[in-house]
Amino acid sequence: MLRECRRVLVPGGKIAVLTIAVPAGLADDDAAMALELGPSRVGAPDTLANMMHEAGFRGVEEVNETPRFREVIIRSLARLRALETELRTGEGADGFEAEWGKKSRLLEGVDRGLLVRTLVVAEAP
Amino acid sequence: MTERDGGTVRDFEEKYLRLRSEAARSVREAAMGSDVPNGYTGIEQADHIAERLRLSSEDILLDLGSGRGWPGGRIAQRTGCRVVSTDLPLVALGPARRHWDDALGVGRMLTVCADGRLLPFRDRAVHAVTHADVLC
Repeated sequence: MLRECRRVLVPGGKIAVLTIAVPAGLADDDAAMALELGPSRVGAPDTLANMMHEAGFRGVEEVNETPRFREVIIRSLARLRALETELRTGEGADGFEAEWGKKSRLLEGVDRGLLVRTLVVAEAP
Repeated sequence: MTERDGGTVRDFEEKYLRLRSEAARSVREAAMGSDVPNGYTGIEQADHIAERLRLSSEDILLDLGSGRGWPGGRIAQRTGCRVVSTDLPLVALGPARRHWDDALGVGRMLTVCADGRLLPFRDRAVHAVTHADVLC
């Protein structure tokens, strides 16, 4: 997909990719836990920045967006809790529990240092 | 498209069909500043990306895996660029087109049902690309 992005970009055109990832260098147990806590497609084979380099992009810059991501999750959980009754009615009990569980697992992953959110910006040659 | 890909598309279709109540919209508004996003990219972050891409009204942005047209629609709103939104679930692309035609004006957003691994565009066709939470 990144090679396709490079193909369709004009020279000097920029790409910005946001992703939730498992940090490199985790112990096996921690990496396995990160996969359980993160979104279903969180297990990338390499870091996004490395994949950008391999796809031929230059000027690859990585920005840690984890604090902002954490704030979004916390605001979301607070609102979910505040509107729990309405959500259980409107989305069903299973729908509420699924959403609450997903966000709670993400927050746990971030707070344990097992999940990071990264913005990678790069330029097509 | 492989069987696994088809499963992924169905998962996303179900995702876009869930959380449509007023209460769910309120949760998105509180967390991200808008009820349009489906992922974790709020208005603040979309505006940050818009600044980084430095687009003008002459430019075309390709937003991959855009769902309901986010963050590409917001970036177009901020910069004046045109945006091509691509994704596979039609249940997301249809509402995206209707919402952003109203918000941006008809013709500023083109929605295309496409797989990011085989883009139906010529070489050097766009000035910037975004994708949020596609690779995870």
